[in-house]
Order: sequence, then C-alpha cells, then structure tokens
Amino acid sequence: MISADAIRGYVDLMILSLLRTDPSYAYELAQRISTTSAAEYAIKQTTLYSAVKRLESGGLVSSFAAASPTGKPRTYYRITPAGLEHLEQKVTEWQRTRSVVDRFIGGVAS
Amino acid sequence: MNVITAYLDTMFSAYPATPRMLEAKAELRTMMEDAYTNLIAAGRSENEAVGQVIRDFGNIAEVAPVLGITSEIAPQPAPAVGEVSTAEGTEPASPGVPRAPQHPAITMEEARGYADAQHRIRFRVSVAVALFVLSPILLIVLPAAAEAGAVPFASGAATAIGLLVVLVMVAIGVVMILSTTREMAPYARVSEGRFSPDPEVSQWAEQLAQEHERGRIRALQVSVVLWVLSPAPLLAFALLLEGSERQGLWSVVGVALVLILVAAGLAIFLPAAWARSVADRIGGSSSTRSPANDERSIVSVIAAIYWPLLTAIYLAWSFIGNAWGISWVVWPIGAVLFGAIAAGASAWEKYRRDGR
Repeated sequence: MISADAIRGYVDLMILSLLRTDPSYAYELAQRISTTSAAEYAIKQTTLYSAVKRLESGGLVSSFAAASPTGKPRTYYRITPAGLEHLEQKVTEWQRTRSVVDRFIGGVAS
Repeated sequence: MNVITAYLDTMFSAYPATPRMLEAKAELRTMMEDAYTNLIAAGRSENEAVGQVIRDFGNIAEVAPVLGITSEIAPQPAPAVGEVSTAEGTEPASPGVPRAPQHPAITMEEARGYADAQHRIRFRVSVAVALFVLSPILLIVLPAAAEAGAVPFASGAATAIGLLVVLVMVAIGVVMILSTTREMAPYARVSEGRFSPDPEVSQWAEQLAQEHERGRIRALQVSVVLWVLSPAPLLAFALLLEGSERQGLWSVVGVALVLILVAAGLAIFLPAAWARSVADRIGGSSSTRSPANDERSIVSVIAAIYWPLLTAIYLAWSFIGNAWGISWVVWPIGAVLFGAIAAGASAWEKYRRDGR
C-alpha cells in the first residue's frame, strides 16, 4: 500500500488522466484509481471529492448531470481544454521529477 | 445504509448547511451508496460493507476548505477557492493536505482503554447512584414510624437518625464516584470530548455497543417495568387503607418503596448501558458534543441550586411547622417539577443554539 501522503500531490494528475478519454463520476473515478493502481493505492472519498471540486473551481474540469449506466443520476466531470493543457504540463513535470529522483536513488538496492 | 447516513450526518454536523455543503454531502452519499451496493454485490456481509465504506470515507476536514467553508465550531481562515494552487498550476504537493483537526484524533488504544475503564467502574457508579436515591428513605420512614409508635424512639431522635443515614449514604456514594476518577484519569481527554472522532474507532465502538445491545435492552425493559410500577404500592396503600388510622404510616412506606423500586431500576439499567455510552462518547464528533455539554451544564447548574434549596424547604417546613407526616410530599412534587425545569432548560438551550 502506498501512503496517502506520498501520492497526494499526484491525485490531480490521476484524475485528469482518467478524464482525458471520457467523462466520469466520482465513484467511478475512485474505482478506476484503485483498479489502475492494482490496489496499491485506495483513494479516500473525501480526497477524491475535494480534488475534483478543486479542479472544477480552477476551470480544469467541468461538471454536468447525467444518468450512470445503472440509471441513477450522477454528477459527471469532463476535462476542459485548460485541463488538457495543465495535464500535459504536469506529465512533463512528473517525468522530470522522476528522472531527477531516479538519478539519486540509482545505486540503492530495492 | 442507515449507519452510513447517520455517519455522514455526524460528519457534516460541524458545518453550516450551505448549498455547496449540502451538495457535497449528497455527492459523498451517492459515492458511499455506490460503494456499499458494489460490496454487497461482491458478496460481503452488511457489516463488512458498512465498515469498508466508512474506512474509505477519509477526512471531512479535507472537503470544507475546498468549498470555502469552515467549521462553525472551529473558525479558521479558509483559503479562498481561487487561491488554491492547482488553479495556477504550481506546487503539486500542497493541494489536498487536510488541515489539522481541532483536536488530535482518538486512537484505538485510547478507545479500548476508555471502554475497559467504563466497564470496570460500571457497578461502582450504579451503586453510588442507587445510594443517592435510597438515602432519604429512613429520613422519610422513621419519623412517621415513631409518630405511629412503631419504633421505640421519639420522632426527634428518628429524624436525627434519618439525617445521619442520609449523610452517611451520600458520603459513601461520593467516595465511590471519586474512586472511579483514578480509573478514568488517563482518559480525561476522551471523557471531556477533547478529540476528533476517527471513523475506524467509531466503527469499533459501535460494534462493541451492538454486542452488548441485547443485554442493555433487556435491562432497560426490566427497569422501565420497575419504574412504571414504582408508585403502585403507594397508590394501593392509599386506596386500600382509606380511613384507617395506619394510612399515614403506610403512605410513607409507599414513598419509601417508590424510591427502592426506582433505585433498583437504576441499579439494573446503569451497569448494562456502559457500552452504548462508550459508543456515543467516541462516535460523536467534538462539535456535536460541546452543545450537549452546554445543555447538560445549564441543567446541572439549576440542579446544584435546586436540590439544596428543596432540602432546606423540606427541613424548614418539617421543623418549624412540625409537619413530618406530610412534608415528604416536597420530594415527589420537587422531583416532577425538576423534570419539567430540566426539560424546559434544555429546550430553551436547543432553541437558542438552533437560532444562532
């Protein structure tokens, strides 16, 4: 299990990546995060909800009401052009961060 | 599902019910319902599913700042929504860091210790309460018995003995209550509500309460029967002995029986209720608790003045008017009146709180 603290800064990145292909609602996002991370990281619902709301108020995602596959009404979130741009920046930033950190820990046996 | 709804209500009770907060609550509720439905569909038991959903809930303190809302109990400056770093795309590590809760969260060890201590002291507390209720019995019965010639001393001596017994029993009760403070001292933070509830610990406490719920309900049933029946002997004596010269003495005995039955009910019910009260204490958020404390404190302030005053009235009336045979009516009337005053005070307190 990855600790919530270690991954916190990347929750926004995960949500934006998931929304890149198609819109989704909060519970589905939570599930896809835990499936994609192969249960290495289970996101808390409040963490996910506040992240989505923060992205929304920053104009990176927009919300609309729609029915889920089971027919229940859900608030769906969709990535905005600004969100796509932000995601690209974040991905580049993450790659640079990772390569820098990797250079330091290269000699450490895992 | 009820547990989940109740859990959300508790979590949100610290916050004002603004449209955005209600929206957040509704959406989190949907998320929890979806999660619950999926877990049940995956073959988990009801209890497991509820436990899992509550474990996955997270920390409510994370949500409010994003919505620009602070807890009304702990006013702290909330970052304006526009200032949140993601909007500018800077510093990925800071967003979403939950703020420190008002008090450190309760730990599992603390909760277990608190529950154990409550379990250990349950009989002592109940016996002390029963002693307080029983203490005036001799003071009520002996003078009337002396008057009627049923005991071999004068009514003045009977009153003195009765008073002495009241003091001794109250003293014993107070000593018993004080002896529990040693057990409870390490958990003062818990008893006084200076902690933030933790979902897992609340869930554990709720389960503990559920395990003991059957015993508590049974004890409550027995006690309620005793309490309802408690005036029966008094009524029977009053009606059956009407006109008899012994009616006065038997009425007094009836009053004593009321107290004995009430005390017996308390002695049966209180020791069985410890697990429930532990769960209520641990599960509530500090915010739902503090107003309740205020309310209790208003009633206890009234009680602190009321009961000594009533005792003074009783003694004054009895001694000055030499009315030992009848003055006991102060107690039942006083008790009913106190119930009304206490209910009125808490209703007023609640009204004041809601109006805020």
